[in-house]
Amino acid sequence: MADSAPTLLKVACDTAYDKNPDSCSHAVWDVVKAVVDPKEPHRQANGMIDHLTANWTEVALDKGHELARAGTVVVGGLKGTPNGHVLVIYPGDTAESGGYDYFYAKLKKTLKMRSRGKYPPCMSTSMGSWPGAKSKGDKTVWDPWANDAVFAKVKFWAPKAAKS
Amino acid sequence: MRTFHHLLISIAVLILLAGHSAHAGGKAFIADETACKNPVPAQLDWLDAAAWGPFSEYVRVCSVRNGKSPVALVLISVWADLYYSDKPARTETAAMPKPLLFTPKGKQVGELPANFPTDPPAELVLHFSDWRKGFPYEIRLCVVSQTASGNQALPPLRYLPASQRYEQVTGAAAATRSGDCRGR
Repeated sequence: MADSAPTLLKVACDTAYDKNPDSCSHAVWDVVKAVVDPKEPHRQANGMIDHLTANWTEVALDKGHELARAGTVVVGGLKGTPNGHVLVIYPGDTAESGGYDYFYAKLKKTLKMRSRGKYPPCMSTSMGSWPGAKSKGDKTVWDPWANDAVFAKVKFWAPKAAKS
Repeated sequence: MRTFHHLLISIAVLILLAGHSAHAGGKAFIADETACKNPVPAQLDWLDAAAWGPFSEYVRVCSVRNGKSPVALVLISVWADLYYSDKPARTETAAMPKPLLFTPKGKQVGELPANFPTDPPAELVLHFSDWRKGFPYEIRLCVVSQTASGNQALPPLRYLPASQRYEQVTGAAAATRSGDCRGR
């Protein structure tokens, strides 16, 4: 039984990633429906962040990672204009951030993102083309934003029942 | 007499509105050849050689001033685009020292939280504001990026006379403004 919750979360993340490659909010929504509340309505990222702020418990990243490893859905997000971004902490060990190639349009050149340290893995999809935002547990919670100053603004939430 | 008073009040309101709009939506700092030059040797001496040495060829010094007033601040940073232009494709991004703020005489008064003008794929947009006697007491920042973040305003930096340094604002005063990412 102790192993079933993380496995359920992992399966939910993998399924949501495959089903919603272009919508972070739909991917996170599918995980929430599968693990937390099957009746949860869909919200776009900014609306979901408002909902989480009001109804879930904000947790520090370390605590969120601990909860995710135990099978709890922990959502990370940052509002944006016009669209914010949300993800789910993937149950697994911390891993090096970066390590992927990306096209830097301004120089018309492909660069490789260096690591900015170890972070928990994530499930993340995106309507955009940023490779760091597409993760089936193979990139970290840092990579969708890929900037230390911006990542400092990202918050994480767990369902209220999971706060202790 | 009453009409004259109304006129004075109207002028005062217009002046206040003009001042407010200059703070809220003013032009972003433009890092061009007019404002930014190669460092002179004395300016390189202000920097930690171990951190900045590997990038010395790509260091640029930007002069910050309000209009035609004397230079208030000197912003020294590694211009990442110049660095990566000289590198082959698939080069791993480098850990560059954070941009530093100095007085024209070389006293360090702060640092920026992200590289300027760019930290590929992100670009840092700066607004120097709250000018008093030719010195900017506030620096508003925005990260413009092609990542999932989009454009993200960062908590502003405020100059604290007591410490003679810029510090990142916290709490309610850290609120960002809609104009932080505009004006480029």
